[in-house]
Amino acid sequence: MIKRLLLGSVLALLMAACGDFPGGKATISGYVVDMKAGEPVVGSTVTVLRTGVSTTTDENGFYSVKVRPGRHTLVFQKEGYATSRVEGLMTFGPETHYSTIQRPLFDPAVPADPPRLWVQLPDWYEPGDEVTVTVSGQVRNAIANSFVFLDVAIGQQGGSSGYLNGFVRHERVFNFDGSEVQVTLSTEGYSDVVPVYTVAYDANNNRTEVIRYLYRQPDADAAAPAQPANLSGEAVTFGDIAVFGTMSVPSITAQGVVTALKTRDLDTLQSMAKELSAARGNVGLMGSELRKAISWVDLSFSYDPSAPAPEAFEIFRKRADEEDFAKIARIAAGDALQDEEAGLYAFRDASPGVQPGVLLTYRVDAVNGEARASSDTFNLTPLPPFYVEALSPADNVTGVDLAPGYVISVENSADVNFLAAIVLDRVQSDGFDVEYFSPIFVVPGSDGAFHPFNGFEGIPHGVVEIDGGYGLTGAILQPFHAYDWTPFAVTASLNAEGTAIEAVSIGADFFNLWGPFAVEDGPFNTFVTGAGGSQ
Amino acid sequence: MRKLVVLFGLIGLLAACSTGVRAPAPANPHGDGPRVDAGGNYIEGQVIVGYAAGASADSLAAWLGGQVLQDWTPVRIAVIALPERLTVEKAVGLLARRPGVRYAEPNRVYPKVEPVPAVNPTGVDAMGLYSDPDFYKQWMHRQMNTEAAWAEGITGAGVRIGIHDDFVDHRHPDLAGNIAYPGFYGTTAELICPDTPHNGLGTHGSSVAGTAAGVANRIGGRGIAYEASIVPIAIDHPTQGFLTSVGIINGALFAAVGPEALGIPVPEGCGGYTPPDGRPYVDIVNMSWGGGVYSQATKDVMDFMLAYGVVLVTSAGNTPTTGFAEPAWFPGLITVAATQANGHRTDFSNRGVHLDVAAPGQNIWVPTTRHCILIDPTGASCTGDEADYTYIGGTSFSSPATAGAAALVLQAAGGAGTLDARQVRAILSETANDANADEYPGFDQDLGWGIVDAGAAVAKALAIRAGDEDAPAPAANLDIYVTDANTGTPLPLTGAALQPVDADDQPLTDRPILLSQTTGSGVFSDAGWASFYQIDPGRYAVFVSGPHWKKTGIVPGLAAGVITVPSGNWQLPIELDVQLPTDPYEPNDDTGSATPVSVGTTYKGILYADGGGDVDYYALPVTSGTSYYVNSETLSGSADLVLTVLDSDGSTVIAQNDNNQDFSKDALVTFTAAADATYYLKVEDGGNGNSPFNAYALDIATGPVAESEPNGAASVSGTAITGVDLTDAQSVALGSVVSASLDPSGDDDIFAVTLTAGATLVVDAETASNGVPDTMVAVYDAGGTQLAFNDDFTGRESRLEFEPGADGTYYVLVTAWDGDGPGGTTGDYTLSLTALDTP
Repeated sequence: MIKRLLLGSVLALLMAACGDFPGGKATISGYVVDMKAGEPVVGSTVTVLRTGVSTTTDENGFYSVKVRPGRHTLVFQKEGYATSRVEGLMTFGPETHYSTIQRPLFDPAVPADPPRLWVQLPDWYEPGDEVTVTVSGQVRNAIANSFVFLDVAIGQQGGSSGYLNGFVRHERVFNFDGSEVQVTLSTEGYSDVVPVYTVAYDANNNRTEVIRYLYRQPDADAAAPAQPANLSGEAVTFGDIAVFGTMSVPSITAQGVVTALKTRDLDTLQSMAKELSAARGNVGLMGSELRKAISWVDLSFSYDPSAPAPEAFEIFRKRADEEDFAKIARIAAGDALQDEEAGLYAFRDASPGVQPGVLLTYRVDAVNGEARASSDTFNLTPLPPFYVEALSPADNVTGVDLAPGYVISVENSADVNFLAAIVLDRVQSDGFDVEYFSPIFVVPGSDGAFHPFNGFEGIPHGVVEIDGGYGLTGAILQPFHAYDWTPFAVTASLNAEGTAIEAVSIGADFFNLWGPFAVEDGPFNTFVTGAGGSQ
Repeated sequence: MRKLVVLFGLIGLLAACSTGVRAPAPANPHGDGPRVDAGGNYIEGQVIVGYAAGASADSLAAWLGGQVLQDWTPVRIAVIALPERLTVEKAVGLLARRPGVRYAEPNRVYPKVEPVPAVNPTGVDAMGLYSDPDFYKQWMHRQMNTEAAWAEGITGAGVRIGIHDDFVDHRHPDLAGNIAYPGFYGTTAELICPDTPHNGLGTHGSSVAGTAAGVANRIGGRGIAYEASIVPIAIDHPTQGFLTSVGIINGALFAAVGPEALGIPVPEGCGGYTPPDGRPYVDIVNMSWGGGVYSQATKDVMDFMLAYGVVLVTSAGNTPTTGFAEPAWFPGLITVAATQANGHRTDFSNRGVHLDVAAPGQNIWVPTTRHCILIDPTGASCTGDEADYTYIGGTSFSSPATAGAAALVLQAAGGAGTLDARQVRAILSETANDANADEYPGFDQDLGWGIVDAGAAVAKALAIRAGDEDAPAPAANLDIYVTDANTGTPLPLTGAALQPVDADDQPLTDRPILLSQTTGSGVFSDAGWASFYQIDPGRYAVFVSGPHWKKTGIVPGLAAGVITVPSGNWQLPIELDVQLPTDPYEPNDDTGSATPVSVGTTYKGILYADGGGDVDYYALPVTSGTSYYVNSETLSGSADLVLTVLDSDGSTVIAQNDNNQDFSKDALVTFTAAADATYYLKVEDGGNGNSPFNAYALDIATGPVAESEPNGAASVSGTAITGVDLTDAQSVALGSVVSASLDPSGDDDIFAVTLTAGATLVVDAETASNGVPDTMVAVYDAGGTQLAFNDDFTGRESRLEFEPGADGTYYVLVTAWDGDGPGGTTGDYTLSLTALDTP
């Protein structure tokens, strides 16, 4: 133990000695996005303090700077945006990756000064130890500002969203006000150098992150792990940003979601919608562009269930415009486990760099002490947002036909579209009656073209069954009565063999037919029927 | 804040001169004044400290080795001169970690902030000095221009705002001064008096109240109308916390008429208020809640309050959606969307043609229920110094911000009652700041008519009061009364729609179509009324259709036309030609004419008679020792069913039930026959209703038969049922009732029953409590194909009818909604399987 401690100290000293690392320069690079799983922040000025080095992010939100090896503070600034700041970022080799979030400035009248954070934690740890992180802080411009959120995460960056951070080991403190807080996290499954990310936001969206590192000598005698297999995944582009604030329901497990996505099980669903709307409700808690891309990748892989689980998995990713793989996460095996018997594991990559239209290649390494085994690679390309407009019946109109055709237009179709019309009788009579639920049509995608439901000029109503699930009787609509309708619209790209869905973009899904959450900001048109012909 | 800096800067200058303390100075363009650091950001040698209650500026200064230049004790802010060689940065760092220090900052020189023109033209410069230390965290005042209203002496004084929400922390130091007792706990129908304990759950209401009318004092911030009165009207459940219909309805009644009119005496020490003649108990009601489904009961209470002269303000909703939300979509209310500090709508704010205005709704810094109250609602753990605050967001806060603005408008106009709700809405809309005019001039679906500008609205109200401007036209109040042309029977469940049109009868497509439905009998008014209160006077196309086709089974009558509705109260009678439903078993009003019935059958009747008081009698032959189960289930209408079983003498009561559940007005009796005889089943309306639409079903079965497990299985997710396994389905005779339970979680029960072609099967699942379990029922053929399905029929219990095409064995499945998922429920139920009588 003493030997390890000494090694630890020497290593720490070596790394702390700025400017004396043999070899000269180190590169720090990464991506800046405007929210978790959000879009690139272009033209943000990245400054490395006390070095005079600065650059700006490009059209992918990407930046790269050359610095002396050592510990650095970076500040990200842009007009109209809050300031993001990271302290304690260490270069452990020639290439260091650091990505961050930079939010739009909430209040233009209050300056974009990031808060101060003070973080204390031990430098070294024993396997499976808990570490206690002590945090306190102070906002700038305190007369008009306060903290709103604190997160302490181990292994990878966390955040306020429960769902998008579903695989991160972290603790969120929603009532942080700057006074001292202690957070305890387990180090189970970690060794070597492990970052601890402490992030706080103030009310103006300024963000300060302090990175500290835990170190434990990896076990040199650990058995070589097996090779992770069957790496696959699905990229999800999600059409509703409102749900990914702090109102995400953390109790929804990732397993059910991943299973539903993998098996394309359209029958598995509204449970989460009900739970989510109970949590959110309309009561309280609760640049607003509707046309935004929120995109992440759900990965799954297997690992021989008869073999002992490795200590951890490391996820590597390479964009088409990058030369090398970069490690984007290290996750303890237990945190990625989905099904012990089958040896199934999963990980959600909601980190900056996931971008519509950019081919991503993933690799998963099983890591045991100093030994590792790599999976084969897997690649996919996230889709752009799927825009859908409900054209007819239009909103706020009267005189609608008693058996109208439901017409939508779509933009950014991929290989195949899933479309349906859902008509409700809930705006002028008690209760929530589904007046009509069309079959879910699976149609070939084609960009920007009109998509009336094929063969249904005036839709005949009747008993319909959807994948053997349930049937609904719809009659001809009542004359002079108000209804409302919404489309269900999802587009998907298929893998090269055409056997599985590679990426999906959800345009409108108010009733959470697709999952994992309802996309509720899609169109809802309320209309009143006309008199109709003879009845 | 800049004024503060200048003031302290001057004092610093004087202090520096008098003590002769001089730090070595670089060239200072300001001469012998306070030195500003090279970056032009702050004054050298000084630090501003915000200190906590109980701490002392002097001791902090002494600890630093400096001295106090200025100590502003009401807000506990001090300026400290630093000793030489202690830089501002170092001092701030030292102080920040020191107990007793809320914050430490350089004595800043603020850059002039360009006002954001689209948000507030008078901008930051309008800020004066306020006693509330957190005032500058409340950007809502800046965006809503409330200071201009206050500068006119308009603060909301004399106006009463009902906070129709969860339980307000009415003794919170930043709310207590404005609470007007008695308030009301709608769910329990009890008054809220000063010593009434909190219910330990509500936090939302405290923040809503603080947004509208938080007190101006030396703590926290302040509300938009900081001298208005807050009347807390709690509508949440005392142990579960969710909002209750009972709370909503009772709370609304209280808001309109007050305690005495409800027969609740106001005890000594609980305040008291007698409204002036013709005025409601509160002037404004804020409703920061809503749902996605039309409810006639909610519509009725909204109309009730509007009719009493209450101004109703509600949140648009946070879905976000352009779809229906109630009460936001009900005619006559002021519906408010949410903005961010940059003047844009928030990501979550609902959109659409039904918006009126927008107001701040994100990062709103307001009081919240004190932590000591959540721990001990009696307040015993509170020391009296606690005053908790929070950042909070939602259209829930845009609404009370607007309610506060409405209070300011009413006061400016001469007091509550000088303007009606429509006029208040018009003033707020006409003076709103069209913040997104460069993209969407005029009304738009993001911000409605714009962001509430309290200063401009108050200026207009003052001008109206002074006679310099005309008030907007008063409201039009329209009652459409729909009757059957043939009998004059008022028709419930009939929809009426008003579409605004221009002089040429062309639709005004950016104005919302107003929707209503006629009332049923007995709740607030007689049946047949569709109300549109506090709407804009003008021209409307009217569309009337009903009774509801699917719910009543009769062909609806239709009417359409164009009407002009001026300001004032109007009635529009509409006669529709409909074939009213009739009870096939009439006459059966006494034992002598009782309808003969047999066990194992369902009969559908209607409680309606000319002159009212209809009673239906059914004669049932019974066998000694047999146990019977008789269930009456409402099919439509609003009868409060009462079931009585009478002995063959026609008067001895063997069993009686009014309500067998707390979530319905249905009745159910079970009894064992003491002899072979004819018993009489009597069905009547305990609520004395009378309508051809008060239809019920009467299920008569024998049993109960015990359930035997295992009895089949299925996979259930949401409403989707797959993988139905009919193995071990329990055979049950048609006409029986089964006593069963869904237990453990994921249990499914399948019963096999033999049916005859053409004889409709009635399946009814009864639970004692709503949703415990939340049942679903379905019918399958032997091949596992689903033939019929129901999830919710009465509350969350299920019922269906199924007509088999062929003789054979059919399978009735009972399961829980989302039975195999996280939303699944368990519990006991009874299942009756009867044949529908064809009269």
